[in-house]
Amino acid sequence: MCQREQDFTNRAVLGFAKVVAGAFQFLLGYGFRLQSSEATLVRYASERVFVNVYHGRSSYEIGVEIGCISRERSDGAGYSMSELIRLKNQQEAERFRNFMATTPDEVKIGVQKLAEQLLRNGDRALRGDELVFEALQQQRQEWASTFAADVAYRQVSPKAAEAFRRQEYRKAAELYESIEGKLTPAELKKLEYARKHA
Amino acid sequence: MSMKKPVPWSIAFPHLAASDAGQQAALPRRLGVMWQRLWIAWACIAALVCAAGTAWAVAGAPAKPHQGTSEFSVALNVCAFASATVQLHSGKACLSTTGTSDVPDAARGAGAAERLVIGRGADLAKPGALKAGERALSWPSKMPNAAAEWKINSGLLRQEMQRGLPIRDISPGNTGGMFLNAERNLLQNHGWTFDASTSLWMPPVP
Repeated sequence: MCQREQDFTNRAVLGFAKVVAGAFQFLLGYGFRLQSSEATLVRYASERVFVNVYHGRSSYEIGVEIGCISRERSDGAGYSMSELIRLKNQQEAERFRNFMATTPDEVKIGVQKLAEQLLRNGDRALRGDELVFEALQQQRQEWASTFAADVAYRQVSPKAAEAFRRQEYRKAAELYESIEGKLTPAELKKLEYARKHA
Repeated sequence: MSMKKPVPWSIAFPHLAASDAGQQAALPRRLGVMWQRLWIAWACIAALVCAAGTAWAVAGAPAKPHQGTSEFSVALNVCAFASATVQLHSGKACLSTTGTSDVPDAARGAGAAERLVIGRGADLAKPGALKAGERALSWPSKMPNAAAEWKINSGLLRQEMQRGLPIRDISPGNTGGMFLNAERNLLQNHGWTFDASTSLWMPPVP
């Protein structure tokens, strides 16, 4: 038995499943039923929606995953709390972090906090609104594109600035053009100058 | 006047048959010519023998698949012929490079690399989350010591990054996980870029 499995068997002492059953009782009002309850994972499901509340086996982070049952079969898409929050407020979503709990008291606090967040941000999803899940899917694709552009900007911007400083204007123009959508006003002016002097 | 009886060899080689003193003076030149003709004759005979031997050898060899090819391609054909012969005798099908051979997967994939997948544990644990040839990082948990946990996690991820192969992010959009965010930051800080269409982290171009 590996260390990871030993930790898993000892997780029951944290009382995660019992705390979840109490804090997420409001799900019954949305037509959910308890599907399964384990030391680190409690599953609920209504006719169209599933909700998985988990306590990370390795990370000890408390999180929730919500998805449309029909969609789950097609693409396995379950959406996290950060994605539910992002639908309402992007800045808040960027600040959001899962609660990490390694003691029974921390588990109580973390689970209660998560239940409140789900109630506040997931009402339409819990009711099985198809439009919300479509919006979540589209938002995920947009996030991936935006994130990819952000990462590219962080990688390319310093190289472009260095090329500009060395007066290698053709190279600088090419680099700036590759991240044009993310350029600051100052960098846009540098791009314009580099184009003229390339 | 008595007629001088001709010497037998002078009949065969009349040039050498000197009848008088003037002709005897030219004898060395005639000998030289004779030796020259002898050498030419022997050379012709030797060439004919060689040609006959080659023709015999060619007639006994198997037909070549391509005529007029270079020595290199002929050598390849010979190797292919030999290989096919060996396979025929061993009862094996002909090997191909398109992956339809009967070579065991383990042997064929010995040089192939598995793709690393990062993401939330909940996503990684789903049935079918990892495709064929994919795997996730794994190590004995050090939790609740998060620092020790991250030390191992980051060390293993760095080792994977050194391989320079794309890494799949299975949880795009999920930004709530501390370790997943840290892994993404680590990749970014080492020049890796994210491809939104494939959810793959691509290694930096050298």
